[in-house]
Amino acid sequence: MELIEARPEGLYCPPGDFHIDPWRPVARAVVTHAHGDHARPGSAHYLATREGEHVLRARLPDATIDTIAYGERVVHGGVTVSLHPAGHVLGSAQVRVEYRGEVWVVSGDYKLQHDPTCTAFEPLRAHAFVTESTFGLPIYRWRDPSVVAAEIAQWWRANADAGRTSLLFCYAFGKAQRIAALLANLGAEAIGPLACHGAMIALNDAYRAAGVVLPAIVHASALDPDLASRALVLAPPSAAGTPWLRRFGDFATAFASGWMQVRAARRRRGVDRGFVLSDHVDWPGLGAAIDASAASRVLVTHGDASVVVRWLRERGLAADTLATEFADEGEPEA
Amino acid sequence: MERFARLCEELAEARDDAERFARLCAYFRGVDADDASVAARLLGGGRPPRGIGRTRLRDAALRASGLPRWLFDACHREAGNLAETIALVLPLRQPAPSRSLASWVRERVLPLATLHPDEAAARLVDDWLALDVAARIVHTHLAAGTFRPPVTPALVARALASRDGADAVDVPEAATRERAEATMSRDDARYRITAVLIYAERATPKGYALGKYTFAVWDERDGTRRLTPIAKLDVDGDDDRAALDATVRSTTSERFGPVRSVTPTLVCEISFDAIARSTRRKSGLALRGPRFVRRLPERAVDEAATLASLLALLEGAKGAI
Repeated sequence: MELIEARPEGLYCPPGDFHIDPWRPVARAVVTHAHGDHARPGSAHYLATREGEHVLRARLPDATIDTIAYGERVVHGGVTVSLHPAGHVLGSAQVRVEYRGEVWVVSGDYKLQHDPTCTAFEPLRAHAFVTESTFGLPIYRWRDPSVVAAEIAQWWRANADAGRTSLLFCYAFGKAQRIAALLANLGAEAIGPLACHGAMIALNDAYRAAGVVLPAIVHASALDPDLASRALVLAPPSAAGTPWLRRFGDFATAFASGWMQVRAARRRRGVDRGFVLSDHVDWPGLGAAIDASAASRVLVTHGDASVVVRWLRERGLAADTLATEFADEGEPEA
Repeated sequence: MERFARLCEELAEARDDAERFARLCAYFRGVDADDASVAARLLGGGRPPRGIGRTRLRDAALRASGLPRWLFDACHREAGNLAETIALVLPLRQPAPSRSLASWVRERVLPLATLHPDEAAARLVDDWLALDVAARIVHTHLAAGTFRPPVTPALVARALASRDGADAVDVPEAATRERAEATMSRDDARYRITAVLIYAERATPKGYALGKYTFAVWDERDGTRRLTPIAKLDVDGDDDRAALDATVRSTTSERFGPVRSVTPTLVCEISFDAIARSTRRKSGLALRGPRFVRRLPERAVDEAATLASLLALLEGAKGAI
């Protein structure tokens, strides 16, 4: 019997009788973070982090949710469960499961890079480590996020000086707030107003309610028309190429995502610029997290799982894929 | 060198010719005459003599990356472009003093063609490790002789001329023309060929503006040499359309309703995702996702691609696309 196994409804812990990030309604769901493909409605009871409570309640308004602090332990059916920072988005957690001396850690989505809007990834030791592999190829190697933020600011300034609104597409939950915070840390608001698409307002509010410091971000429709051409507007990728854009006169577009590392992907998006900023772990980070876990078994979920599994096996680790229904194309929309 | 690489990236990402012109002017004003001359020559299409072959490039990068072959190949499949894959999988740049473009080309690029292949490969690895990602990509293309300017020679010449008051710059002569066959290098996962403009059609029945443009290649199938149409495209850029329309108006030979037939004078570069046989078309071929890339006003019509080279692409690509 495995301590955590893949069931039709999702990852399941048999002795504890609970699921982790189930994709179908279950009795007990431990949720790593509030992204749509990990926190799905319909389950009878949810367990999540206190840090992520506001965003999770915003996503699942009718759910029964219990929250615990990072590191706090809960025992159920002889299984000790605790949630630890994953560094992915606000409130994101790795799930540590211990039963009769055996420890498994389910990473959820995570990154090792610095992010001013959420608690940093905490390396955990485990016998078995279940990890995501969204960017599981050596070509995905991130740079210092402050450097990327400086490039975004430079692009913003050049557009503002040319009288063009800067339209930056990014995922509404996590990425948008992280970019706003990074830009504020650089003092970039001196360039012009920061605005966002309506889809992001509730999430910005949830971040602030949780105590994250964000700069002022106005609703795009509330932008002062005289200042609009100097604004940076954050919008979800689904807004690209839609009539929503018509309200901006002359504008330049960009997309902030780890997928922008590759030129062909930038061209497919049809934006003027791509900024390589991701909330998922890169190849070097994946290796570091696996090393830090000292796990003798690694199970790999969504992404380039087969590549990572083969790489680990060639290094002498017992590795396998774990079939899940998490978004395989990378980050979900919101 | 890094500055030139950044310029190339900016030119490729620029929205229109106005932006490309501005970037070029800014670059030329910011470098000395030596670098301006070398940059102008490279951007004008003058390539260093063909150096290192593709396989040797890949093998040198594979060894330097420390990755197993299967993993390198997986990266290559994801990036779709060998030069970019190499740039991304090699260890991060080691600190090195920045070098001028001119000294880089003279000391690191030109000698590659004269060295024994193994020594050239070793030199190449040193070169890569001293450069950032964008510069690695440019350097790989220069080393392989596959550098393709992201801008028209005419725009380069205009931008160079704006560098007034500065010391005299050696203006490049027209680059030597290669046979413009359908290229085998799948840069950016798209094929490119040169083709001749033969028709232009009104965008709307009543409107005056021209919309679709038909391009042709040389068909030598039955012993004669004639132009056979292979693609009908929209052209998005305002500057490109204006230039095409000007050509069309001055070379129209006949009109059939909304269609104007032109005397073949203009060669352009078009790109496409894939090629397939077609029984419906005169050429016997259909290009998938054809797009206008740029005008090549200095290219001779005789030097446009042939149908034979497209057919060779089809044969070569069987099972691969």
